[in-house]
Amino acid sequence: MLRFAYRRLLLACAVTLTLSVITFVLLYSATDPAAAIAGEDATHERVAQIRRELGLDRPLVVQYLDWLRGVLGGNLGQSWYWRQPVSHLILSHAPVTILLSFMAIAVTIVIALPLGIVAALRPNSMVDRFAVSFAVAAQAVPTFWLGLVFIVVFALQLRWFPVSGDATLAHFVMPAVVLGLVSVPAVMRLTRTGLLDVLSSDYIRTARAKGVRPGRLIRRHALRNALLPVVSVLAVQLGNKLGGSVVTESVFAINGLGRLALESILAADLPTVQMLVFVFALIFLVLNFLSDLVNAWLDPRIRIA
Amino acid sequence: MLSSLSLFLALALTSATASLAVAGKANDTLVAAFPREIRTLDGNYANLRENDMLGLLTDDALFAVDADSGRAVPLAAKAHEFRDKTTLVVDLRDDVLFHDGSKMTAEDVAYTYNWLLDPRSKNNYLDRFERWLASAEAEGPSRVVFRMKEPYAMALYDLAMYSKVRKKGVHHDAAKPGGVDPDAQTLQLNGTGPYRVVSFRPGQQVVLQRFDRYRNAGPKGAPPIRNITIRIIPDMNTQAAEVMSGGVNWTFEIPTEIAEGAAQSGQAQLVSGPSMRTFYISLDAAGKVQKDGPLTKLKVRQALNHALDREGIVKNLLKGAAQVLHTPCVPVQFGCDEAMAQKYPYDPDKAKALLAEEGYANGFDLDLWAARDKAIVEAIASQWRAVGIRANVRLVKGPTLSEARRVNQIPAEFASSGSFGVPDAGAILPDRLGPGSARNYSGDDKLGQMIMRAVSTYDEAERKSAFDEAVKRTTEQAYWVPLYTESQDFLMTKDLSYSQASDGMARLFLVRWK
Repeated sequence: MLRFAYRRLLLACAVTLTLSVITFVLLYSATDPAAAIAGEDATHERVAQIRRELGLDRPLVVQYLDWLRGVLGGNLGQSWYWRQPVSHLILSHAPVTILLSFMAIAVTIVIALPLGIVAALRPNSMVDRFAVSFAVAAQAVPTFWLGLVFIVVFALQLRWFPVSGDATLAHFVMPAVVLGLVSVPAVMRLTRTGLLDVLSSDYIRTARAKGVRPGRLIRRHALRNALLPVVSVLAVQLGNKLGGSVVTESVFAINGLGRLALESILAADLPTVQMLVFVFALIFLVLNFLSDLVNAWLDPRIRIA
Repeated sequence: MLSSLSLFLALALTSATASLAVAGKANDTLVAAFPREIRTLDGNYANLRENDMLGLLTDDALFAVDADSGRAVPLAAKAHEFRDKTTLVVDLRDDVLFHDGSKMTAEDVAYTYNWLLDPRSKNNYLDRFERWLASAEAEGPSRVVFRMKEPYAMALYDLAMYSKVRKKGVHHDAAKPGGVDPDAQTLQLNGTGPYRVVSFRPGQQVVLQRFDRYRNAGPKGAPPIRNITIRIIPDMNTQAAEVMSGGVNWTFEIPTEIAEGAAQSGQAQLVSGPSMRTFYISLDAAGKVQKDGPLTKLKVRQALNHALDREGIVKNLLKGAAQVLHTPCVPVQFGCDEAMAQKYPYDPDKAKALLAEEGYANGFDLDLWAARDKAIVEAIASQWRAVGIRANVRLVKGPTLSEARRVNQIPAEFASSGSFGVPDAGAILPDRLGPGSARNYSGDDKLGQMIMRAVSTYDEAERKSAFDEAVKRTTEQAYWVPLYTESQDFLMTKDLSYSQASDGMARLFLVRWK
């Protein structure tokens, strides 16, 4: 298991380094941040001066190595737009996004897993059809629209929750449900399909023949194997939420990493955008690494392969 | 594992429960929603309208634009005089306090303006002050002398709108690179205004409280509301929902259809007021993009003016929440006399005839650049196409537009100016049609001279005369297609009273409970 983990970790480091090179080159070649910083009516001379001051007139390789040296030394750089250290920006915006993402993934699990299991146990029944229809509907509805509907119904009509903000835990309920519902179809379908496959396999038939009770059969024998792909998908979904909840954060006025990314992109604040892309990529890598470990723990064959 | 997760969640919750503003009269707490993020408390380092509004609460400049008369009147200053054409002497009030309790002195004021002129300060208004101000000196404890490079009629407005006074030495720190710290006031502010900053989360929220030692005199008077919380809510629908639920008391720049819908529910009130934002299309009369191109011909530019149904655009697309403009400024501004302007009524046949006279009976290709208001820009392009001009809309982001402007790629640009809320044509014409401006596509030196004459004399009659000539020449030569000036909609809870000044600047210190 340790050797497996070591191999995966090495691979993750190589991918991280490659990613950092690609994002740096793409970002710094795609836009001229000096023009954005200089403002609308700045002269050529002023733009050139800013370019010199920020070191943007140096070769890209030198800029990248400088950035990498800083990151390895714990210096994530200074935001040009927010006029603060990037590390401070990310640390101050991360808690709300992390809380929102975990709440959203909890909503996904609570809805998708039972629905997928029930649908698999009663294939082609009314419950199954309802579950599949629900998944299709949840996938089709845009999050900003669903967010506004939730605001009208639960905040304005019923007055159960506050409209927007992140001041209390109650503020996170509606955005977490909206964000969580988005992932329900993928997780529910995978659970249903995986469980259907497993339930028709030989070892389950054997277990049934041996008289194992249905509840125990599902919990101890079927689910353990059926959940393998679900764990991987949940990891990806969590990564999506940690890095991609821009719309939900905007609708519910939550000042998390998504909004920070959006505003930094609009302002061509490359140090912040570069670091955010890097952090989002790292999140995916770490979550994939963890899901690989969980899968290897659930299925010893993966460790040996 | 479980305990680590608990600790992590606890940290997240601690951050998420930083502060909770309860809006309402009972708590004497006004919660205002802004759509764009406040990223610094220091108004010398931001040029968003949101920062202007915040700055009016947290800082007292030497002068203020009076909401009623539109004139620059003393605020932290007591009096002023021009010792000669390039020496402005300002006497300070002796009761202006910083929020740390210390008294504002002439040394502080001189330090502030010399810092703003220092290239190391990298402040947002360096270019503006460099243009006319040479230095500032303290002459005794309460007198400051501004040495000017040239006579400048807008000096008091510039002191009112583009600068906040800072405590002497605040931007100098030996521990920082180069011994200076431009960001010293970014996250914590020592201002002089009627409200002090209690807490600030960049991009999220600013909590203000009435400064108890504020002098309660002068143009701002005594602040009627004790606490003001400014929340950043980017989505306008969410803003409206917050007002209807009572979570937010006051919003501005909310789209009319959303504001009307919210007001019709009976849970909010809609107050409309004027704005100084001028929308126009600049035309490349100078031939920067194409030497001797169609836009260098007067009749072609006049045709472009005649081809647009401004009334129709205002009525149908802006739902009446705007007024048609015929001038390169807003008539409420000093020096912007509509009677001086040549008007171009909607007349597509005349437009076609003018084009034919110049040899463009079959039209020509024209790129219309813009960074906003896609529907309106498309409507303009469509009306131009109707007279034969093959208009192609180039909708791009602001920085791309700026860069294209810098490299002379823009034959026609849909643009706007808010004049920084200054009710004087000198706040828009030099920036947009004056010599040296990247936005000036007129190529008309004579027009430039008229504008500069208007801003370099203190004689009001002479200024008015020069502005009249400039307005007349700009419209006669059809350097622009003036479009309209928008109204502003404010959505607020029904327990508030607020009326908008004609300069379009939202003043939160004028909001009162009913």
